[in-house]
Amino acid sequence: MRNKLLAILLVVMMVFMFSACTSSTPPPAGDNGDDGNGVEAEQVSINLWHIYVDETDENRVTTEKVIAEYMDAHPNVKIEQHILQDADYKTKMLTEFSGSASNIDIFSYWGAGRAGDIVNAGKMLCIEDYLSPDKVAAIKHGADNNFRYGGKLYGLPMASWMMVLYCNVELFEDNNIALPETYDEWLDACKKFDAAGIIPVALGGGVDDGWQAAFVYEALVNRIVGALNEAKVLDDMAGFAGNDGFVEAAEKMVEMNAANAFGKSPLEIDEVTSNVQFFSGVAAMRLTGSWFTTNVYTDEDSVVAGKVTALPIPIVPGGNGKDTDYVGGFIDGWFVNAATQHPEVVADLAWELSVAMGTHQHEIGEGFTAFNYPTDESGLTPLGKEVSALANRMVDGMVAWDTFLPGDLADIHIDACQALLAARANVGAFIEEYTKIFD
Amino acid sequence: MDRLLSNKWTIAAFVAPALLIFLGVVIVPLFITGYYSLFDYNGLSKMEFAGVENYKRLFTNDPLFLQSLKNMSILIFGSVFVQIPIAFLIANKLAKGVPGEKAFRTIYFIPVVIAATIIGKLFYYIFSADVGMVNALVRALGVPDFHFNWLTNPGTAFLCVAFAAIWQYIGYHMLILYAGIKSISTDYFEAAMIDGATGAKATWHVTVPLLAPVIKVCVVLAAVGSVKTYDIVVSMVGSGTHSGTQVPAILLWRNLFKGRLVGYGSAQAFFLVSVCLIMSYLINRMFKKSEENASMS
Repeated sequence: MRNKLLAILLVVMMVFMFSACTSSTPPPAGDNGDDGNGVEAEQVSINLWHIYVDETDENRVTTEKVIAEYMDAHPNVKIEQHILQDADYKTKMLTEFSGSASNIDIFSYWGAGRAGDIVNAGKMLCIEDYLSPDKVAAIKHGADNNFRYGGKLYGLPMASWMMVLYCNVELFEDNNIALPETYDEWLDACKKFDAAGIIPVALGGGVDDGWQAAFVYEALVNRIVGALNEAKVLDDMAGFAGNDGFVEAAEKMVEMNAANAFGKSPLEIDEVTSNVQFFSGVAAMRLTGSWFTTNVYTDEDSVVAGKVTALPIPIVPGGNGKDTDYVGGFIDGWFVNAATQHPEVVADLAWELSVAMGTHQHEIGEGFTAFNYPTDESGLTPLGKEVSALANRMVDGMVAWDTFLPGDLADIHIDACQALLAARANVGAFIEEYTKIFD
Repeated sequence: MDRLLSNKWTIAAFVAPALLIFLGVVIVPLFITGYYSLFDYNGLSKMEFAGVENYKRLFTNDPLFLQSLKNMSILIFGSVFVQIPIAFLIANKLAKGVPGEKAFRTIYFIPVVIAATIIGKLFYYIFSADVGMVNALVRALGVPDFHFNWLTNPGTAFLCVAFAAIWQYIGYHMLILYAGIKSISTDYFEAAMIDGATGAKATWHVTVPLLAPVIKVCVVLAAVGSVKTYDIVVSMVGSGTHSGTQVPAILLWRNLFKGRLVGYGSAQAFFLVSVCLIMSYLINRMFKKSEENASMS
């Protein structure tokens, strides 16, 4: 009997303890959790994932600003940020979406092939169903191409980026070298800088930043094959083998590497190191995305602010690429998990983030907004103005291949481009690898 | 107490928790991996049965994987035939007594307690073309323009990685062998000395045979550890394949987590586990006779 009493007492205590642990604390008096009509609004908790690790990154700053403003305007909404570095982030997202991804409501991701698998698996919210027609109409024509699947909008673009050849004008002038407009002039400039002991083009294509090596190949393909032809091959996944332009681009990349255009060890350094090489005035050029523009002024290592000009990728005479072709486009954006408990709220938040980030990137000259909303360009830096002017005359673009291709093919692409920078680069083997992928 | 411990149910009750955990975290995932390896599946798509296609692809249509097996073999060879002999020589010398024996024992063991990623970075600064010590040394010796990409040249990159990987665990095997040598009764050496065997002769005819069970443990650990090598490669040269430095564990990770090839990556994982198990079995078989002789002594 005593044992039974003891058992009942223990059970009662456990029930009490559990209820104490799980009971939610009511909001303190004065905390405005109602819907404006005195009716308490549903408490909404949102998990937001992104890749903006660097706290000084303009995208990180804007994301946090929008989150704070959104929570102020919607007191019943609590948004928790989860941040991971790019490579870890991609792995995390795939692992999560292999399951239910229940800890993800909204996440920054890449359209086209990357988001395509999640869409095809039925795990991405069709965001168009939660946006008013006015909002959908406010997206610039073509900006949502990489975000539509089966004609429906599954993600929101923010801004377009564009590949730019940043040049340290002071180094060009000091060494009496002309800014390059054609491939031959570019190669010649590289040879002269190398002879002068200056790294011609800072390129950190090694370690796990192989996309930097891929950028060089994609730049040359853009000029030799042409953006539209290139896009068609990637869209159709066919037509690589019969196109000599892809071979010529690989040969030119090997030729540049042999001339030490990317320094003597481009596969040994990463992106950060190559940025520092350019910022510190050790390297004369930097081939990268327009997101780099602000860093020229804000990076703590930068001594080149005011000395940099932005050039398009040099033209290859005889190539099919026009001088209005560019590498870049709308590929980064915000997506919503189909399994979110609060699709209306999360879709609304995705809209706010996309518009704010697109607008901000436009206004600081890092990108070009995806929305037909007015922007204030008065705060643009001189380099930002140059990049903006450059972008305004571009017509046809193709995004970076590693963001367009599915993950396994993206890896093969990056490995193959890195191999072009290695000793014993073999263009034949490179083309064979691509022929396997595409044809 | 003895009666309690001889009860089969009691034994089962004690063993059950560990057994359940082992089943849950090793055996079941292994079977799940084996199951996935029979499908064409990207983690998000519908699973399509592929039979042994993924295994066929490993050996017929994946030169990267074949290269990684070659690299793995180099690591196994280096670990067994370079790392362990060096570790044995050091252990034997220390166990025989040298001034500062304890200090040396600790010093040799230091690389083992340092994370492989840090060791990788240290060796990066040795072999790096721009800031590495090797190139700097050659330049200091009178070749001012010397510049060689040790870590990105396909001819040398993996050898540099293998050198670092083999170097790191010499201390580990040294300590195991040292403990083994110390446990050998001095009677054997005294008897050998009376029979005229000293120095290398005594080592070869007394120490090595009696140490067979310990050497077997070292060989198993070194061989299986070589199959699992991952971190030191990534920290020295990244996970790319441009310079031929890929090892199976890196390809497996790339396929499973980056490339979304869940079926194919699972086939690689299952194959590697099988390699480890078969290797352990063969090594045990090879040492069976030596172990029996050692236990009879």
